[in-house]
Amino acid sequence: MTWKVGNLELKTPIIIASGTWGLGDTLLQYLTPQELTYAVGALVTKGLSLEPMSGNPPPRLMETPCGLINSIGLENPGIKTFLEDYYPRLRELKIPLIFNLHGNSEEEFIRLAEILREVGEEAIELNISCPNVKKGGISFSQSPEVVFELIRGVRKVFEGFIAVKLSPVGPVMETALACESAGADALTIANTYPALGIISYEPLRIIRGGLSGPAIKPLTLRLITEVSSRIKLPIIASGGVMSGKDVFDYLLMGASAVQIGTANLIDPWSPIKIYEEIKELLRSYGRLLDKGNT
Amino acid sequence: MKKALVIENEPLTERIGLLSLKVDQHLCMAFNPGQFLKIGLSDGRFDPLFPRPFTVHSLQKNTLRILYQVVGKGTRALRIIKAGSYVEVLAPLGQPYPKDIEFPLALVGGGVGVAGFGFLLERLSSQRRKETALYYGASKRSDLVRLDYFKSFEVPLRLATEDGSLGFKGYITDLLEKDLKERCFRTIIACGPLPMLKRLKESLKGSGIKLYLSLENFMACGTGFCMGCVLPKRSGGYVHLCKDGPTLLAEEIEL
Repeated sequence: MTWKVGNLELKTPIIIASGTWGLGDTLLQYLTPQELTYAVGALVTKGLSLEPMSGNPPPRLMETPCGLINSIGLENPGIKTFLEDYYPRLRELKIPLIFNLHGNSEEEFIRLAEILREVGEEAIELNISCPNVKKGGISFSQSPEVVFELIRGVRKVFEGFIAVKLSPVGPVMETALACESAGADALTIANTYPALGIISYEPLRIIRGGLSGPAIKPLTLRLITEVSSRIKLPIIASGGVMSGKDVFDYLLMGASAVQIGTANLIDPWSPIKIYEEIKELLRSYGRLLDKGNT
Repeated sequence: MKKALVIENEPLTERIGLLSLKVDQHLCMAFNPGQFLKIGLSDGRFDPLFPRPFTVHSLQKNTLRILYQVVGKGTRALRIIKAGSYVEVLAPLGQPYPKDIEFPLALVGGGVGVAGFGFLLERLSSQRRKETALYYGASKRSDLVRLDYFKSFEVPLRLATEDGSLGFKGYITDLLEKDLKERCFRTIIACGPLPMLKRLKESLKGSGIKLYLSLENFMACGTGFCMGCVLPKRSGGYVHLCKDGPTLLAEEIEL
């Protein structure tokens, strides 16, 4: 069985989300290559920028009821170091890689896409929740027109698979429509939800970040249901998947594949467990899905 | 994560407990002192969402023990686990204590921060134990748990309580500083509350003693996946406590 997300073909509908398996250097301490190729359809890399980023000062994490607020700040060694030091080992796994890209301007996104084209990589995911420095620091995701121009620009230099990872807040539907008309191949719905947690009063420690985990799954499920009813682009669901049922819920409501994020942080073995569960559910209820998967 | 049988969950005080788990031979061989494991409840609950990290207190004959203090919902949930039930564990995680320890060595534990030194003492040769002292402090006598166990290693045991109910009256750092006027250590490994670690770092500056600190903060993954448990490095950037630590050279980090 293969799972199609636009022109991307996956062996399973399970994708490991960006930022939830580090840079890949410790992944194989916990999972064998056989386990990974068995259960995982694709891996989305840590968000990569042109230059190294050291990330945010602590606190970067806070657990909330059934959720996690994170404010990692896109810590990454930059695309050049990633390609030199981490990529060769990941390529050997023979699991499709989707490069999550983070740019501060349209030009940066375009340069990142060019670098990947030069190494022969064929799939990218654009993180548009980052601030657009040239537009006064407002997030790309808040302006469908800017997102449209961004995708047009990236498309000119990159013929491969382009997914756009949408923020769950702001003009989501308008942005999704802009992605569709600008020539994106898929939407990843969605990034984490803007959130705030108070860790302590004295000293006052506050974390502003993104909420993930099972707490957000019903929110993202509804978002996907609404977007999929109006947009033809394939949707990759991402939000609080903990079980095979969560995956099936998303597939039933219009997703073509599903990312697992926070669950990996709880247990690196989650993708395998969830894949076993979804196989079972597909045997019982697979007939309910009609997404053109074969 | 793997399932592990709870052999015993013994309350030692109102807030401190000793959890004993049965683990397989493979895990016993894989663990080194200073490393930690994540423990989660296996009842499918999402709150608390994350398994909690604990250092290994003791590992003998397929029995792994952790010493824990109830501070939040993770440890509250742990408190009610019964013998005969199962928990989920992910292990071993983190780096062991440094391999190049120069002796004489002082181990300094504040409260349940003493936990990891049990496993270290179990693995030290009797020769090395003769060059090792254990400093162990708590607020009161009843909080100095596992004393008989620590006495069994026959290392000098220096005790302190804030209320003076057992041993030296004051902080364990006061006792160590007093002793350092007459005794010499080449390495100190400390684990305990942040003010204690800050004080040690400050007072040992320029002493020539190598100071290692075993640190904790909230961890999500414990595996290096999320990059959340960072501490600023003195040279810039961050260390990732779960992957690079939990024991780090004091001079290399900002507390």
